[in-house]
Amino acid sequence: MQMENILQQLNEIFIDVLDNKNIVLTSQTSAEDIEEWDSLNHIHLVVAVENHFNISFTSSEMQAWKTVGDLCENIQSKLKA
Amino acid sequence: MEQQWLDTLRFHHTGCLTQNIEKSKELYKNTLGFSNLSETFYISNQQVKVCFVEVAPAVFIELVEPQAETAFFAKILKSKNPFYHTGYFTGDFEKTLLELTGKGFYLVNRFNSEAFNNRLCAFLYTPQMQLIEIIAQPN
Repeated sequence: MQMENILQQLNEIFIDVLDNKNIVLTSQTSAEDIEEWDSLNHIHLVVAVENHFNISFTSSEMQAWKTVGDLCENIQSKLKA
Repeated sequence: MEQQWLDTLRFHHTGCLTQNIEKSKELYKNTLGFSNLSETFYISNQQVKVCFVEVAPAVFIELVEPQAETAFFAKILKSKNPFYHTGYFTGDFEKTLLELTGKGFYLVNRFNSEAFNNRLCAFLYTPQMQLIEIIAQPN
């Protein structure tokens, strides 16, 4: 799956989970850029992403994400595997 | 004896969000008649004020008043169900944390809590997305 496609799907997940229709993700977006993206909502995002793409992340993978781009790459690598 | 670690967990409290901790304390003390209330603590890592109301022997409701606006607390207040987590003492904090994350629990954060003499605490989501807190038990 193309990164652009993953990003688009992630955008919809973020809008739904964080209940903010104004979210526009880029690969550089981080938690600091979105007010609703706190440590508790982060877990809700992780679970929504796992369910949507039918994948699962390890704790170390989750801790390594600094930006949405990192998350996209992680998703892409799992979908290829 | 795979689940022996569960023996180390002991229920301590249910967390209850409030917009005004003083009013809630008054209600639990004067209206409901629970006279054993802790002092009010400020937990800096969580940016909340908390107070424990003993509602049965060694069983508490933790009143929690946010000191900063967060999306998470706003969502709970909007949901009209202020009871949002359960807290447990554990005799072996690190082992419990390892066991739970190994069983699919999601670690949200860990911190030292002023409400428990700066002992270690951690919030985790269960695989069914229920929020729990584990607290290092006093020696």
